[in-house]
Amino acid sequence: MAISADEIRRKFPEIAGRFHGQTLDVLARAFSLHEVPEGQALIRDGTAADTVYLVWEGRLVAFLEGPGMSVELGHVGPGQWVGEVSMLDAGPAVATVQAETDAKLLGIGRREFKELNRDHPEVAGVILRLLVHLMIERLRRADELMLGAAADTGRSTAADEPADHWGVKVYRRLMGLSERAT
Amino acid sequence: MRLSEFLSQSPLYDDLSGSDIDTLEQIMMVRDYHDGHQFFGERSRAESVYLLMSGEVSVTARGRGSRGAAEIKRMKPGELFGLVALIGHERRSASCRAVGPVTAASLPRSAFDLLFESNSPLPQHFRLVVARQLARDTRSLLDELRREIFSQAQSA
Repeated sequence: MAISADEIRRKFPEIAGRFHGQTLDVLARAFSLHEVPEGQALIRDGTAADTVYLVWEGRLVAFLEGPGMSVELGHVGPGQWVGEVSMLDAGPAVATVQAETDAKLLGIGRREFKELNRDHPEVAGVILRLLVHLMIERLRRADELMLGAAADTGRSTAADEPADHWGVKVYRRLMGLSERAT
Repeated sequence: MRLSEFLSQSPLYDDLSGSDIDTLEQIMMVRDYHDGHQFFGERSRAESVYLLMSGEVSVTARGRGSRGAAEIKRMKPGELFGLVALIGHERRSASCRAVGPVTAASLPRSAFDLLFESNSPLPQHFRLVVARQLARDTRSLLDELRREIFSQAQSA
């Protein structure tokens, strides 16, 4: 099953508006639809990952997996992107992302994206600019958070916030996650 | 080493064609920098992006968590630095300084903007190179944060 250009237009007009003419049809064909039942992981922290996803519907939660523990980072919902870092740099997943409700996502893998960039650079270019500006915005806001944390009355900001460590806030920001499920 | 030779041999740039590389060689300026050379400081205007060809560049910023001013990244050959402020049209949020002798190629803002926004073949490859570098920068920061989060959780 695939998603049509019209469906993308209706659901995410802001994203669709970046594509001109038939290019949204090309994008719709390049995406594959992934359905993830509630409770199932889409991506596992530290494992191989090569796909960037746009959440179509449903809600997912992200965790950091460590030695004998996991740390909840935040939530992601319709219109938000996940997986862009691994799709681009070919490194392992930076978090576990698990469906909190039945979820549908549109995904494009590294190889398919490379082909899209070769065959339809005008389409891949829009996605790349979008992801670049997303990463730039997240890096800038993460910097502000880190500066703000350090400037906070001059105290050691890492010491006394176990419930929501400043690092978790920055990590959440860098992944574009929301603090609360919406 | 010539820029074209460097780009042809680096796996980070394997999407660039021969003509892409020739064009970049014409528009980027390669220079040697001495140990300690500051490419840019925090709060300065972003006028160029740099491609590190040899040596190391230290990236430092004030207010990184509990540690005050600190090195946040050590750039290695093949990496681009100075991207965030250039694309975001903001002032620099970090300083970059040569550690030992460095060779780097610089690309001024005007040429970068032209490459980043146009749809001809070189820009389509260049945008991928830029996006990959930002993904590496993001991962580097995430790795640092992961260590901090788990070390805090284990000591709590």
